Amino acid sequence: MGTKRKFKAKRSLAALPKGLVHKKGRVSDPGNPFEVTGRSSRGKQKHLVHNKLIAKPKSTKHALESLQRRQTQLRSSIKSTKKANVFVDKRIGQYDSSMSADDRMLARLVKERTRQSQRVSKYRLDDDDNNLLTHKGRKLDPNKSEVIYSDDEDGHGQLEAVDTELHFGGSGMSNRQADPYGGSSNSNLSQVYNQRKTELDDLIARRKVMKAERMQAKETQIETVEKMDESFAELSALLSYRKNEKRPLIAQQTQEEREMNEWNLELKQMMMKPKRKATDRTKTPEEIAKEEAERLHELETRRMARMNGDFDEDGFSDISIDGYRGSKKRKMKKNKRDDQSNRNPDELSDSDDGSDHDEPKAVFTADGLQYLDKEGSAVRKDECDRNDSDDEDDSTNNDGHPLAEGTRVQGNYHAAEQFDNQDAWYYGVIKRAHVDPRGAVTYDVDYDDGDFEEGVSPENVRTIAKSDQEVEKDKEKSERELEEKFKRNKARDKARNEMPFIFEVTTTLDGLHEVIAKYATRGEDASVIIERMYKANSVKLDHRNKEKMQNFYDVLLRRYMSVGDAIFVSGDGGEELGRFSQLDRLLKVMYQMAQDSPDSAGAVWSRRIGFFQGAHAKRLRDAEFEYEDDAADDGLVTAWPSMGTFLLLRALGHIFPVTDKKHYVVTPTVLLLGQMVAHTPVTCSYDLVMGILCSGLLIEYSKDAKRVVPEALAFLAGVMRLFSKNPGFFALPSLEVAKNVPTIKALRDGLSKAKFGDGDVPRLTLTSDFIVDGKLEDLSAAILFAALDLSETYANALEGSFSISVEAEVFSELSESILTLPKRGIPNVLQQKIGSTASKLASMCPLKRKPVCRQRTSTKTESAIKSLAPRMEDPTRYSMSKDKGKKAVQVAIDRTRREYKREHKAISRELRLDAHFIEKERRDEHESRASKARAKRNKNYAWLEGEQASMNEQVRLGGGLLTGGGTGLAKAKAASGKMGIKKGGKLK
Amino acid sequence: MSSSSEESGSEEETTQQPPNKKAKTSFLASQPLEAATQQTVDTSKIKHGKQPIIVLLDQATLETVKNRRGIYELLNCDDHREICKKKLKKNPNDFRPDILHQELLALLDSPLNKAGMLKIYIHTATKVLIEVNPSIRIPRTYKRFAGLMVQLLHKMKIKAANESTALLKVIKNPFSQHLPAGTRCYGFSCQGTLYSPIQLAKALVPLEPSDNAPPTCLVIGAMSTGHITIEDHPYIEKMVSISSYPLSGASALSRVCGGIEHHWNIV
Repeated sequence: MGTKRKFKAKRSLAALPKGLVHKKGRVSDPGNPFEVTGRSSRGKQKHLVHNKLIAKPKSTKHALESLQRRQTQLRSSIKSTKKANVFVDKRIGQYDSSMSADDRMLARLVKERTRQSQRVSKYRLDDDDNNLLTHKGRKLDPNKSEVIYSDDEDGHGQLEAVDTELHFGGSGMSNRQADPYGGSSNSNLSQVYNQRKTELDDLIARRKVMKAERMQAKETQIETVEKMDESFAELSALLSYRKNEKRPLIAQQTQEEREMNEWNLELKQMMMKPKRKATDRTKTPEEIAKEEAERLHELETRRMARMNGDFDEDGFSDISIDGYRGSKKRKMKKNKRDDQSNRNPDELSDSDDGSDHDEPKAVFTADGLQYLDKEGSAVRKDECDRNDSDDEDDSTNNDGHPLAEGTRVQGNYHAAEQFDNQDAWYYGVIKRAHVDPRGAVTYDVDYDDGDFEEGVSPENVRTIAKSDQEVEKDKEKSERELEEKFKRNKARDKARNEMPFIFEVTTTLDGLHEVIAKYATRGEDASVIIERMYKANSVKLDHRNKEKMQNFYDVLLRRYMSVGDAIFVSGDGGEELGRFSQLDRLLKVMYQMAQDSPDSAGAVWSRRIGFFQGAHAKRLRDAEFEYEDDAADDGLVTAWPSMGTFLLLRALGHIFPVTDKKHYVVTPTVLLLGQMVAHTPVTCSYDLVMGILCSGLLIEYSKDAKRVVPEALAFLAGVMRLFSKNPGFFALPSLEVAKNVPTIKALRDGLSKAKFGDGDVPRLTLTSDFIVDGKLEDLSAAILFAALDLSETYANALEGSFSISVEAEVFSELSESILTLPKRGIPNVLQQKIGSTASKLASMCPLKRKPVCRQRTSTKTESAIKSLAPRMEDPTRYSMSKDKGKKAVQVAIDRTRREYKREHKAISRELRLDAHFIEKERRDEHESRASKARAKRNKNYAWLEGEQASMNEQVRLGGGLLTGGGTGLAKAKAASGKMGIKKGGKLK
Repeated sequence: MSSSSEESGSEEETTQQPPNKKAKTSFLASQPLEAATQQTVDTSKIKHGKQPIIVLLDQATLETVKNRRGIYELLNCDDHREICKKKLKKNPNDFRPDILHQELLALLDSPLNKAGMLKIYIHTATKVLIEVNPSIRIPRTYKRFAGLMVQLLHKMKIKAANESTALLKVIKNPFSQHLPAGTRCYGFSCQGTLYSPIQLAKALVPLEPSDNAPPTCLVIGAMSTGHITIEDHPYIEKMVSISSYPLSGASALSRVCGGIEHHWNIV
């Protein structure tokens, strides 16, 4: 603040406050603003009109008075602002000049006396008149006490009142000096209390008796009612009702009513259900991407867990139990076999692997399923069956031994020691089972009664037979566990065989191919891998993925091209590879990614288009040399782009809008395509096909926007001319050259040999076996047919878009070239096609194209400046009114607006002037205060300076007159007592 | 402040300071135009090709009056003689807007104007400066012309009937600020140097309209009596005369236009 202020010019106090218009040339005093404005505005006319009545300026006298009034008012209000209150002198007759001093004093004395007298009497207690207490505004009369002294036992409240009065006293008691209970007035307080106590005891006793009576009465009543109810049944049986009376209170419900009731019930239940709030919001792309990624992550986590044998929290929702019921064992065996063959390389060691460790568990769970019980190897079914039947036959059979530790059994306690081989079977638990080398089994049994016996032979131990229910339960349990186990095995196998759900994004094409080679066995899998890569790493999930996804996008473009090239070489690849469907799915991913981050996609595409451009330029440069050098080679020598590139450019139209006037990607692509079509030399059938394809692409990209691509039209026209014997003039030099190339000549000759039915015209395909190695007849027919078809399509698309002359100009080359085609010696279908295309073109351009001529220059009269009539109003009815030609309503509105504006202006001017005045006052006040303080300060400074001057004078004279101190030379001199004059001083 | 002024004073010899806005107009108004021609000529105008002849019709009497019926009229000596005498206390013979009318017709109908080689300004006796679009078709009758002028003086601008082009427009004084830099100005007076029209064109007007020579401005009076003075127009380089005889404004302008048309081969 301080530093800022330093550079500002200090405002003088006399200057106008901020916000006021400061006119140049006017010196400090603006004068009376009303006067000035009046004078200036009225003196200067906006439009000088002679003989126009002008109101005279108002007298300045009133304006001045008004201004002074306003200023006085303002000044007083300024003074009173920020002051909370004022002192008001209320002394009687202080400012009344009519009162004499004596009168004034007398009046004040009278007033004072009056005041004092009122004040004293107000709080005097012994005054009889003012001794009445009040309650809620009513006077309380002590003579009429509120208390009613009655022995009425129902007067409970009154008794309480009595107690209150007795306990807390009161004016009535004190005044009466009597027993409230009606006793003798001489009895003392203890008697009163005793009496009161007995009374209260009586009251309590009476109450209790009353309560008991009431309860008894109630019981009696209930009993009576019950009795009557019982007897009513007998009575009602005796009664006979009339027949036509509406007998049954609960009528038989009809079908409709029942349905209605059901419906009502259902409806009520539905209404009772907690309602979820409907949301009309569609999910944002970010949310969708997040959900998808979460789903994949969840699946991947589950897959990894299953692969590692961790089945906690796994619902097996995706695992069916098909094949479990029918052939449990076969399935399991098969699974086991699969396990060995289909192990994933990233699979971890599995503690749950195989059924070996699980099987012992199974044996103890259910008796009926003990065929699984065999340690080590699997058990044969017949053996298991035998075990089962044995167990059922005899529980004491030794075949069941050894029993497991912890099995609950009945033991024959000390059987050997029992008298007369009597059995003494007690319940217990097997603590331990001993098997000696000979196979004999003994047990240690811990009995429930606390005894312990060692070496119990199996004859003396028998397992406790289970009840049917328990057996059933165990069976179910084991079933469940088996099913669970089956599911686990199935899930694990599935997890091992499945592809991962989450893939890291690869940023190179080789990386992508490696991943595909590792996990994919079919073309479909490759597409899935790419989709999962995209979903798990979408830009919508995290903006930091942008860079790697941009690289991935480039990889996808190259992948697309490589698949396209593969299609050219070896076709679709059957169901297993499905290259076309791969392209479809790849395109979807590319589209999604372009939607997610259009900037990245645009950048990648434009870079790729740049590469194409560079590559095409290089191919064009190399083309001339290749003609001469590589003519003998068998390989395809062409300057046209590969099929993959073409297919990628075809995909472009699905990703970006092609109808935009200018597009970051599409416009350069169209230009590149035009360049390719116009410049690239045609030396073989492949070149011709590619030219037609590129022309088709150009037409596809421009027909919706009704744009004209002359390159494509010229190429198509040139192709037609190539098939004619008198080709005439070619629009494209590349095709002009091509007409003498042997391959193309062969194509032309092949057309006459072509033979096929009416319906099956050969169509162009993308594979090399048709384009390069196919039959010449078919190829030439297909090329010509495609050229004709494209011309017709384009003509249809552009029909009516331009004027007839323009259309004639655009399609002149096509219509001329189609006329050069041979009329005979070609298949009927082609002839028909030529006819239809020619008639279409003829209908579009009925006029012959006009030769181009130079435009003439404009004549003098044409170049002369244009003469414009002024917008004049009727001079006889001319008026200066602002409201001329307006409607009455509009006039009123405008007038109001003008008035409002005028008023607003006036008020703001008043406020401005007030502000000016207030600011001036404030500054004046501040100045007056400051000047006083300054004067005082100056006075003090003057005195101090005077003192200092005299001191200096003394010092200069040598300081002889100074007492007590001094420094330096003066002090030394003083100390030396040499009271002379200082050297160099005035008084030498 | 004082130091900076000294510095600028020292630099004045080598480089010329660009004058501020206010100083620029006064500079143009006060300096003789030879000095101005020596300065760099505004190339933007020259690049355009044609440099039209600028004509200022000076001291035109365009004033409005309100008659008894409350209608505004252009003050003229015929209709408002009494008002002029009694109320305005002026000589009614001075109020001749018909001269301006004739002059405008002569100028705007000339082939020079049709070729787009004319730029017209009007300066009234009450110091109102009006810019005239060469495309305007001035009413042929005086009455309609008067109405148009009244309308102009009130509305400050007259637009074309069917377009938004401004045909007449009241612009800010001084006139010199509307002149291109380096314009050579000549005043017409019977007391000036006598030229025949062709001579005049040869002497004052560049050889070709698209020549790089500075543009020419001709100041001609539109008043009944009196002369144009150099005091009023300090930028006037020279006073010239087109005939030995005193001519009306319209005829003088016809001769001048004819001469220039001949000079520039505008037929």
